[in-house]
Amino acid sequence: MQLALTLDPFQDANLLFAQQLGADQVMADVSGWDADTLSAACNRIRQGGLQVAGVESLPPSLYARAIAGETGRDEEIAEVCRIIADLGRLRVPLLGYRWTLAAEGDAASVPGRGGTTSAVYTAGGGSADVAAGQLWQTLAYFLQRVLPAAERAGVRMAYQAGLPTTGAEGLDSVAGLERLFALAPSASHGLDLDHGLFAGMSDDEMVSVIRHWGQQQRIFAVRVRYLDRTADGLQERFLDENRLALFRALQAYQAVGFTGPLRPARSPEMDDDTSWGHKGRAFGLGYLRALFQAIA
Amino acid sequence: MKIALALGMSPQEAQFARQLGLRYVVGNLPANPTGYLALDDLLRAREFWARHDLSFDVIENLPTPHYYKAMFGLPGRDEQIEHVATTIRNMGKAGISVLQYQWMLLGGLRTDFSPTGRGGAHVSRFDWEVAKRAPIAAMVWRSGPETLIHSPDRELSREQVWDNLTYFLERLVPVAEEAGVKLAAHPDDAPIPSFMGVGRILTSLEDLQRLVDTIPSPNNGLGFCQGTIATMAGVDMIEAIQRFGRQKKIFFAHFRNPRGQVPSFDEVFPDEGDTDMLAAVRAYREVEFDGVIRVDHSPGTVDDPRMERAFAFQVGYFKGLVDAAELLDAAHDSDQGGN
Repeated sequence: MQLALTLDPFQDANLLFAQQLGADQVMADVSGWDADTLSAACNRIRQGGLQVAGVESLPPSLYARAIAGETGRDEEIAEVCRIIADLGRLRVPLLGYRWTLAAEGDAASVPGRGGTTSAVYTAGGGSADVAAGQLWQTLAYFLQRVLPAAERAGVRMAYQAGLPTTGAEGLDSVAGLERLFALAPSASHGLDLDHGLFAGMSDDEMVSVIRHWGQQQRIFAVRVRYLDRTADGLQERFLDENRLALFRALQAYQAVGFTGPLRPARSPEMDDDTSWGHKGRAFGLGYLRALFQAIA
Repeated sequence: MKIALALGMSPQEAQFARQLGLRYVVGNLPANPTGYLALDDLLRAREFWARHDLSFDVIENLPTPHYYKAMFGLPGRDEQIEHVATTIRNMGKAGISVLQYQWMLLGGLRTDFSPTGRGGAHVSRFDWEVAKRAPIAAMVWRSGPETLIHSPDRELSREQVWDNLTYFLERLVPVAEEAGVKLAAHPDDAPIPSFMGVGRILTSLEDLQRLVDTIPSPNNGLGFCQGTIATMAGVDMIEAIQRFGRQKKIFFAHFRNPRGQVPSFDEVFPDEGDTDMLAAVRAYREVEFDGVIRVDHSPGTVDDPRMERAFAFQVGYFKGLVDAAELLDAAHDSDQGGN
């Protein structure tokens, strides 16, 4: 397992922040997709001695027609394949993608620990925005064309599930993800596993999910956060507020031989912090570094 | 374990600690012209922190102006010692149970603070060779000459400095016993045996042992600055925790993990120093250390003028180690129970 941060590599201060606080890798959060921009992003990360774990997420706006199954999707898919080929040339091993046009979900704010501002996600931004039957067809069409390109390029595609706020049996559930991998069998297709998926699960269930996909080599990256299922929705809390679950999860990743990037997500918002949440992320990096040390 | 930060008495700093999930805080009161810390001030500090749900049980530093004559053995020391006795009694009344003091006549020593750490983080350094060549530079701590309050006008041997400390403790340990306050001696940082002709007497484990043996008392012990002790030449940090922890002489501790030992060391991030900090946490647990341990100095990080990011990282790291140690021990215990 590698300690990683998702950040914009064109912001020097964030790269230094990652280096200084001991991150090993960066998931690049880029907004330009031409070969020059991607190349510059990789160079900036590597110059500082950090590794490029991957590119955080392909924006669904680049393949909106493919999601909706509309005319023009083949051109979009060709562009996605071009990006993947460029990433392969840049030795970027991982590319995240989503299958929704919605944002992460509607969030309200409630007070968290010590008067932090804690987000509560009340509605999923998952795949529910596409009629269920069509979702699977368009996704299969996309994957059948994109995954061979990924295999050729040596880039692994990591699906990023939306939050299970609705508890729906759609794509963004354990069963749905199972079906996802059956759509287009490829060793280059896996998960960017968001701990939001575990909200409301028992620790034993969580560990069995990690074991299941870990043993199948489907876990490509992990995003760690603690979302507590309350009556109002999923409330973000600090990692150490659910320490046993996190510790058991890391032990499970270790046990299945997961070697990819694991990164802390946003924490509840501390006073006088940046919008990116430097203080909260610093706390998360330190906390995870210690747990890594303990399970090594 | 009771993890703390050293903070100033402001609602912002209190909030910072609470948001990081801390329950303990340590701090200082400013030197008082009367020569002692007033009961009202101590009570006000304790109540301030209690209002923010933080427990304030340790005075980080007895103000140096309150006892420098005792340190140097100067005329007027008896009056200062009597005032320190008043401080101790007032702390007892206010329910603040640990008073840390140091016996560094010329203060703490560093020779550099520069962007030589991980990712260009600013790291403080001590190098004895530099200190010999430019002693005044070694008294400049980070950004300014904060510790330059005494200039040595004569040489003092280690034994003379020991005599002064013994004189101080002989008079104050009985007061501390009566008041229910623990006197915690901070070792000399950097731990070199003398500087500018003035002895530095708490610079090895044998010195620390001599301190606790000089006046045997449950109220005479150590402010166990892990960062300083780790930089004493030849010290094995884990053994040091075990040795003094078993004697119940660790009254208060500082969590820090430098790289290197005298003659030179760097104050790097706690996850990259020489000590296995998980093993250190487990050693504190093994000896059933129940005092406060505070997150100590940190390298300076980018865009972080108040060092809150750096301390958030350090608190996260330390909490992670403590949580992991507790969870590993609990798992081990339940395995044992099943057999």
